[in-house]
Amino acid sequence: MPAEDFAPIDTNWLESAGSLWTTPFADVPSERVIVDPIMLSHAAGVYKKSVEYFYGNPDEAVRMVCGACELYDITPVGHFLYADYWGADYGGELVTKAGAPPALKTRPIKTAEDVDAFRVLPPEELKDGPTFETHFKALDTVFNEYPQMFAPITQLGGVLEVATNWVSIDDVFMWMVTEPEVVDKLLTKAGDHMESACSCTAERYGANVMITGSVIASGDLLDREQIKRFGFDPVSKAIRKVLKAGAGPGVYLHLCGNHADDYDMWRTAPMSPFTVVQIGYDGKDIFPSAKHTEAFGDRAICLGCVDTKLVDRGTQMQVYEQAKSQVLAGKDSPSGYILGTSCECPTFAPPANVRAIVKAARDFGQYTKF
Amino acid sequence: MVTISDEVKTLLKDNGFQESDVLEIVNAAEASGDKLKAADGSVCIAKNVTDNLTSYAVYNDKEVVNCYAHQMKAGEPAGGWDAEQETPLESKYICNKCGETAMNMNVSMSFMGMSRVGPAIVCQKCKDVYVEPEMVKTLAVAESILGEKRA
Ligand SMILES: [Zn+2]
Repeated sequence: MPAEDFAPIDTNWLESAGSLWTTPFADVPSERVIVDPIMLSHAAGVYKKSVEYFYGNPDEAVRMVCGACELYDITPVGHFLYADYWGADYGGELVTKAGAPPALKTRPIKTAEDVDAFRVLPPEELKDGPTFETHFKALDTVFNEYPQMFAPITQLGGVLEVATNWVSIDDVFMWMVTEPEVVDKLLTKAGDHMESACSCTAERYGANVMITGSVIASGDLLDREQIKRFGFDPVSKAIRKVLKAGAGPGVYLHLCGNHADDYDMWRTAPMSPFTVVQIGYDGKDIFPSAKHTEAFGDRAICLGCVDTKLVDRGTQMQVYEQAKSQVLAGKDSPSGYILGTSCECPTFAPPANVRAIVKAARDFGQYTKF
Repeated sequence: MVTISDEVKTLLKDNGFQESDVLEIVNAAEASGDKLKAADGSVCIAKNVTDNLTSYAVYNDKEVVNCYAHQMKAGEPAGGWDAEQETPLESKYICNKCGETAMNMNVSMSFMGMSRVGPAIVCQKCKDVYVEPEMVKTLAVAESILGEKRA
């Protein structure tokens, strides 16, 4: 689907959505909380395209995302990313699979000895690699065709997520027990890679939002002490490095999964004036926005979540009720609030459920703090 | 008596600073002792805070080697000091007055009537706040985006 196949974005909508989106970042008053359900391959369904088509054609993917943003009335930003970034740049093999994002079939690091020899690519080499070729194709399309929906991001995940694109997750978990120093070394290199990658994006577009946080390092897989050593500490060092390299100013802390036992730790992660903190679950339950804004409202934009399982498989009313209770609890958070989902908008979620989140924001998300 | 390096002279010209202002920051810091010292002894950082600008000079025994400024006004550590006790990391600077290592922390940053946080280093004892030279670009880009949005 080339650019001419897409109807133009309504400029009135763009202006009002832009104003809603500015509020959490710049405290400029608007009517209500905006919804950001992390729209990615769900947008392919809106255009009746497959997931492989979406990820195989990054330029068309972002056009579909931008169109879906207008259709659903959500954050007007053309995102593009998937989980298995940065393996192919170092010699891993990335393969396409039906109905799923590209995934690594082989990874560059095979043994603990390989970690020592592993060389992090400097920006001048990384920028021409396969990951940025795809990523920049998507971002350039938004920049050129949807300039008002452009926000430059770099997809990283936390250090463990970068590292598991280089080494199998099984090896990393084994080394945490048998050779934890090797994991420390690996995560330092992942942090160096984060600085290098963010520098490429910032160099190209003048600013960057780093998508980082803690996905694997969650309470379902690691205890608090392990999360601190293998998640929080090296991620904090990496954020500081990225900011010091001038490759910010955006910091998006995606605390995916269960963070009941470690969420408070992240209060002291290095933050810029544009920091968004998203927390998925509190044990098995969705992380309550009241608890979230209590802990982070004095320092960061809180992205409150609706459970993606509910969005995917619940009823429209269940989604609407959860979105309502989250937005009522979070909307007046002092440093801003966005209503979203606990992770990427499920690819095959019923459109009515995605729309139910927006409906709740429209019905109950009016600010009273301004 | 320190002088100003040629590179900094160019930097000053580009940023509209006066040489005398920079020397004044250094002289005031030397007189009062209010400054940061790099732990390796290589440089000191002195600052001057006004309502809408915080200016810094980085200098050694002989000359001023860097100067920078931000408009955001840095305030207290986010959540107060106690709440931050768990994880602040040591910076590579020492507060000259207190002899304590300054810590990496988030502090409140006010700008054009709004308040968020930003990365700074804070003395453990006197709580004096500095922004490191490498962090100033983060604040500058944030100021420029906010300046446009809040205009
Ligand atoms: Zn002190």
